[in-house]
Amino acid sequence: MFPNERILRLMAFTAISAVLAGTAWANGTTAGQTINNTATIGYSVGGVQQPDVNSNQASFVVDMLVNLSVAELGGSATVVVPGATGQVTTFTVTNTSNAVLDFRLLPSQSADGATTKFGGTDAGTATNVHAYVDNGDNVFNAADDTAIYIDQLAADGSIKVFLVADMPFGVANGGAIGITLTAFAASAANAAQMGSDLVSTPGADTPGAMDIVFGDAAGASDSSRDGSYSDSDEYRVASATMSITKQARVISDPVNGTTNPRSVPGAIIEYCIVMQNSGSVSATTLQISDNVPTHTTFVSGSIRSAGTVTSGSCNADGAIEDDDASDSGEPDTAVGSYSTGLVAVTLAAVAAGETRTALFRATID
Amino acid sequence: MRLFIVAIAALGLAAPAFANGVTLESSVREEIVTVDAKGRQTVTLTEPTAVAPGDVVVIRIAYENTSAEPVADVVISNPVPEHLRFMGVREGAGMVSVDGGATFGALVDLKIREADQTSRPATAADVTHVRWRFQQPLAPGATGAVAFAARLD
Repeated sequence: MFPNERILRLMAFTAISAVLAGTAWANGTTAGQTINNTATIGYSVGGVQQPDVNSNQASFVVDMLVNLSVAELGGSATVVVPGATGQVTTFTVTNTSNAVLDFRLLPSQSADGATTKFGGTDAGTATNVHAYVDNGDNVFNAADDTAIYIDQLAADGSIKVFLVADMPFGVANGGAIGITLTAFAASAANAAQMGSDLVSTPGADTPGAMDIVFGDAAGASDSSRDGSYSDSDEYRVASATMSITKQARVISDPVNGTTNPRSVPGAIIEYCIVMQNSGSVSATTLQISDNVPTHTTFVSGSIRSAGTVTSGSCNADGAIEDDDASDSGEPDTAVGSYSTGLVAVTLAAVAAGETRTALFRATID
Repeated sequence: MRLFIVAIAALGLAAPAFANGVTLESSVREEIVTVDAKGRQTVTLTEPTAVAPGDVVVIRIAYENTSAEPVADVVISNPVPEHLRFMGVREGAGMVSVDGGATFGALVDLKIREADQTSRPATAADVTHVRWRFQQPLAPGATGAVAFAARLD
């Protein structure tokens, strides 16, 4: 060994290590490639240069390093309303292997009560959940995004996958529905045909053959080096949460008038139906119906719609409605009607956080 | 500097080559580095049965003077195979070339001239050949080995 050269060599290696650190090998040498090495020696004997001598050829075959990633796109929950159909969340699947691969797609859902991707609590189960592969336009379209597996994704290639699901009814405002997409590396041997899941080559090996090595990390719900990867997303329910209460107060009686009126026969009672929206979106086309109580008689022309509440008490406001079921001649978009003992009011909308009322009056028989 | 010619061995040649009593045998091993709980590294060399991109292989060239004469001016040269990226010399005092074997030196001393006539320090990715020059003659029967490590792209 020659000290000077050795020192230089160590310095050289240090520099090389620094350069190599952090290098990505995603688009690596293609699996199945044979790497050959041949060395040559030159020397002289008795001062006479001899012909160069080649070594044998040492070879190995590059194995298939299976690696993939699945990433939720958008970084936030998909906001849905209860019962909405065909709700879409988007993922990107990337093939970081050194081979072309198919990917099998498996959607799954979080258990009730589980913490979901963006901090929600799973409160329901979606139905009709499917994974569809983007046809290249980056937008989900049920008509053209119909592939249910990824066919022959090139090394370093990536593609969007849409999870499409129908939302359940009965999930309260703010409730979450957690969802996970898992992609499994599969053989890309046949075009337009989903290959079987890849299996890593077990311990004992066939030298000179291409092995399958799993190099993937652990995803949201899968293990490292299992040939699959997963990421989660969530639907977040934004709903109108309606509560309805009814108040009654005596307006006047035949004896006391409007001063401390009592509920005696002939007294006029005002019924107030209070609709409170404590949700986060507007409730629209609210239809309220109320039977006029027995032993009372509806006061014609007394229906008021979309009134307000102050400190829990109904104000004597709201649009005056006629008693027919038509809105013609009325100044608002609400309809109030009375027919054979039934008061019906339809409100166009109650916005998030708003409280609106419907009032009518009746006389005690 | 002595000129030498790099010949391409015939494909499929498996046995060590003989000529005038000097043999040269090339072999490939996968280098696997494991780190224990205390951070100590253990390097093992195995049969290259599971080499994937990013893995490191060690190419080792064993030599033997099988003649009855001492041989001098010994130079072993190894082009870095395609798809492999030189990492460092592991056995022997090897020098590298970044110009297809025309000139050799330590990597830190080598420069790459770019198309726009500027130059930059050479990196491992630029290494095309590894070469070991022996200062002393090989005595009859002398054996030894040289090696370098490379990473699969």
